[in-house]
Amino acid sequence: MHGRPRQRAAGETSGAENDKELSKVAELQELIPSILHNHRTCCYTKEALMQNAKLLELNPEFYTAWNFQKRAVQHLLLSETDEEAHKRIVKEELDLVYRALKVNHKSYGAWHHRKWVIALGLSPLDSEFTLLSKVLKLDARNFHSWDYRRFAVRMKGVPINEELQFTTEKINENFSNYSAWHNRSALLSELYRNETGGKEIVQGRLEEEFDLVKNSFFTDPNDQSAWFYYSWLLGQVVAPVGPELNGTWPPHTSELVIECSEEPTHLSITCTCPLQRVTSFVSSGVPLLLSFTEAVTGVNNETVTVHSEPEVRELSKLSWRPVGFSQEFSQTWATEVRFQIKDDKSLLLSELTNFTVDIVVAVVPGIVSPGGQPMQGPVKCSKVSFHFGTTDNAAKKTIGEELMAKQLGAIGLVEEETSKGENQTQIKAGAWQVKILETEIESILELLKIEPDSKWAQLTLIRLLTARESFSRSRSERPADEVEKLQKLQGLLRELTHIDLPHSEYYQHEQSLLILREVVLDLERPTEPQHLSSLLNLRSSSLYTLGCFEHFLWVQHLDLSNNHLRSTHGFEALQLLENLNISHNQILSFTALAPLALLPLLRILNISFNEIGAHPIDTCRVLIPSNLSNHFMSQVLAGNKEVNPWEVQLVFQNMNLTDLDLTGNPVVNSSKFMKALTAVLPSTTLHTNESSECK
Amino acid sequence: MATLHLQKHVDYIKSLDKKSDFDSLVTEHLRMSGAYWGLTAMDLMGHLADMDANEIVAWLLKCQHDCGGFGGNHGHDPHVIYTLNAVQILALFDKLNAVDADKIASYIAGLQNEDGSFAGDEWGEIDTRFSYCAICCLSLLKRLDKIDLKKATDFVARCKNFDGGFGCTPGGESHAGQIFCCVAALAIAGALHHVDKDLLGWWLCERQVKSGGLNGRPEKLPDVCYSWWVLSSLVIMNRVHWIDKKKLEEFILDCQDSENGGISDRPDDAVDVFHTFFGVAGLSLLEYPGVKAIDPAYALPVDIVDRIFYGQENGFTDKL
Repeated sequence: MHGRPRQRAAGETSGAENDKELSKVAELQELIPSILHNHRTCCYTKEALMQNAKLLELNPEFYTAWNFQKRAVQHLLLSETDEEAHKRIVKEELDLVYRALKVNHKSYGAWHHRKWVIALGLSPLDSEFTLLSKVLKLDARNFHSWDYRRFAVRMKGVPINEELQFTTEKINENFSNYSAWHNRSALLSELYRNETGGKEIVQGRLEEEFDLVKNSFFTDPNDQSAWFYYSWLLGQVVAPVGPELNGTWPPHTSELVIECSEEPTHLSITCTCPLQRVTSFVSSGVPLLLSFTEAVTGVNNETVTVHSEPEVRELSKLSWRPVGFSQEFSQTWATEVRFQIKDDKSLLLSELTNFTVDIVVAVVPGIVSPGGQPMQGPVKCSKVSFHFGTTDNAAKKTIGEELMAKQLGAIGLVEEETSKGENQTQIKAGAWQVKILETEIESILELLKIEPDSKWAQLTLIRLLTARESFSRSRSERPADEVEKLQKLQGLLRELTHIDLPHSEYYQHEQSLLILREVVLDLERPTEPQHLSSLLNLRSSSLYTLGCFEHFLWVQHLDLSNNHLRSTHGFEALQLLENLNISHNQILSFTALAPLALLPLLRILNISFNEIGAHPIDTCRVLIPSNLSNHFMSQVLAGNKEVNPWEVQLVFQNMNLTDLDLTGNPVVNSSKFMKALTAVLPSTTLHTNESSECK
Repeated sequence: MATLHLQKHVDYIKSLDKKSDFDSLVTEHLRMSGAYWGLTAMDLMGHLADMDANEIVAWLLKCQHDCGGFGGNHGHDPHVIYTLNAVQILALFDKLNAVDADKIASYIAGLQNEDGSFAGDEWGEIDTRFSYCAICCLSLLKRLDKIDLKKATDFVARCKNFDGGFGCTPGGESHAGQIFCCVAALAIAGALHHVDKDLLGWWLCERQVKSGGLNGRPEKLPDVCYSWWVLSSLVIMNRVHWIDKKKLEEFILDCQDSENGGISDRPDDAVDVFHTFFGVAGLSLLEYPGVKAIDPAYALPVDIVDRIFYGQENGFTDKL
């Protein structure tokens, strides 16, 4: 019952109202059994139809009565051969739906019945538009009416531009019509998809949209409708159309020294990369990682080509796997280069024993996002040198020193020579975007002069400025200026937190992403060699979320203590991670740690002083899909031992931890959990109280 | 500061079965849903044992048709919504063995269309609500392999909008109820990569209005039922802290009928079992003391879901 006042006692209802309700009760009690009987016995007499119509007018939600009605129509149409009779039958149905909609214009059953009748093709469509203008006048936000309108538009084949005009009319009647703005976004997207006249036409259209929507929020800056639409428009201008490759490991121009490790089946790998960070670890093979701007599928031998000089056959047959819980989509993809280890501990790859390999990972189209958007932009590649075989310590040192001496300016990925031309047009496109952003920043600043406390205007300004920063980055700005701008943006977000306190955690999430951008800038600055290690220290950094993973693929030791993190979502990208300190955060459950189960090298995990075991609602429980649909989960649960609670098994079963610190989490007081942990992690040292932490 | 009148709500739900007034007659076609709402609320409040499981299951079985689907009541046509509700009720009572899972699964599989969408019944109405019903129900029955799950999730993804939300069909406007259906269906199917969590999370947290209540679309009135639709979606995406939980709790408690029990859509409106369930379920997600934890995707108590999938009876904190 929506929007009906509560009656404290039955006596408060007026006598007349009471009588009316009583008579309806009597009517329904008589109608329902007889209609269900008619339905069962396929009785479509005039009497039966009249009764059914009466019931539907009393209660348009009685779905079985609509089903009866459809069977009756089928029966009647078959029993009449005359076209006029058919039209009359259909007309009567549409009249019945109309009467039902007058009782309840949000009845799913009534609207669907109308579609079903219209789809018979025996009635003119124009009258449907007359009905629609009537109902949309009564309630301009009724999503059933809008849905029906889209149906009628499709049936009649109304051109997109004409329908777009209708939404303009609706918006001009009332700016606050979110349904119309929504429909507009859907129509424009369709229009852009079909636009063959070039980018300029789409750009011109977008500029017109900005004018329309600004008109709206300058009229009422507190109405959400226009702001959401504006936010989408902004995305249309600045967001890349499809996924892009944004990071690799080993990074471009890095040099790897590969030897046999003390463990006879494992390799010892040392990577020196252009940021001059030396990463050293032991693994069964050399991992190769690709990171994308969003989850993608289609990463395989055809879309990723690995060239080597001299040619190594094995490298053209690498099998790529998604890093994550989905078997299909992931933001990070991984593979391993395996070497043959001989008895004398020398390494062999493709019958060769001693050489340098240049690998080019070139990502070509064929890789798509969940929305089906293909990979965009120029072909990118990453050149990496492998050294193994006779490389002795002296040679290793030379390689490292040479690289450090280079002080390489080239960071990240390079674009392949052939795609330079394409790049030129991209820069030109960037100019249009910067122009739009400048205009919009001015408009919003103007609005903020009149409405200094409008959270919508303030948030929009921050987004516009952030977008402008991203675009000006490629124009080789001084890092110091960039840091200053990022800090200014953070200041604006802090102000916003005060204006709109209930959403402060959302703004702090946004703030965290800016903080991380600053961290990334800092990492890109040339540093003294002695400060270079594979440690990333982010302790006490006011982080509510972690992102920018593509910049942290090299990290082996990560200190995230004293932040506000609630999960380790996305951490699976950090495939080289060995030591993670995430103590003093807001991790609520073991399932929040599930991504860590995908880190093969993780040995030391400190999750002390979080809130594991303190909350009945586990907000990460569903982020790991249930066992029926998920390969990973079914693998874990198919393990030979059934561990209760399942969360412990899911997260820890495949981990190879030497140390796990759980101090300060309520869960340590549960003998059941601790018993399960000990069973799953027999060779791990568990720390559960402060004294053990002090050691 | 208001508190939850738990016993009054329990008594209110118990009283519903005997009523034959106008309200119960106009909702007679969806009695299966009514039973699911009432019984789940009772379980969340720790009073499921007050209900006569045998009597309810016997009535429920009478609502099943030869095709395997369930109607909203005895004598009413089968529909995917009531089929899910029936399975949820059987799950509550640990009586899933009382039905032929394969038969139900084949009914549901028969409703899937070539494009991956689901019809609600033989009459072909298409809606992502039905995608949720199908996926949730088959998952509970451990029969997800009976449908083309990839096509099913791809169809849901096609209903994604400019605001990150989802509509009934491709092109349909975002609506919090619909968003729950789509996000929960994708969660169960392991396809949350289709959800733009930051964009949708922002849109959902903006559903909170000054009174603390949540609305279902921009510029609409708040309503207790969105305490479930919005909140569960935010919990699934691990972004529930983006709203003011305390103020929402106050709003829900304000919608209680403190004299006669039950919860309404807004303060001082008439109560019903639908809003009573969604109010209690909302409080559960807000970790209100004395209310059991609910699973945000299956819309069943966590211990029931754990029993089905992991053979483990207790929820996370109960295990402690």
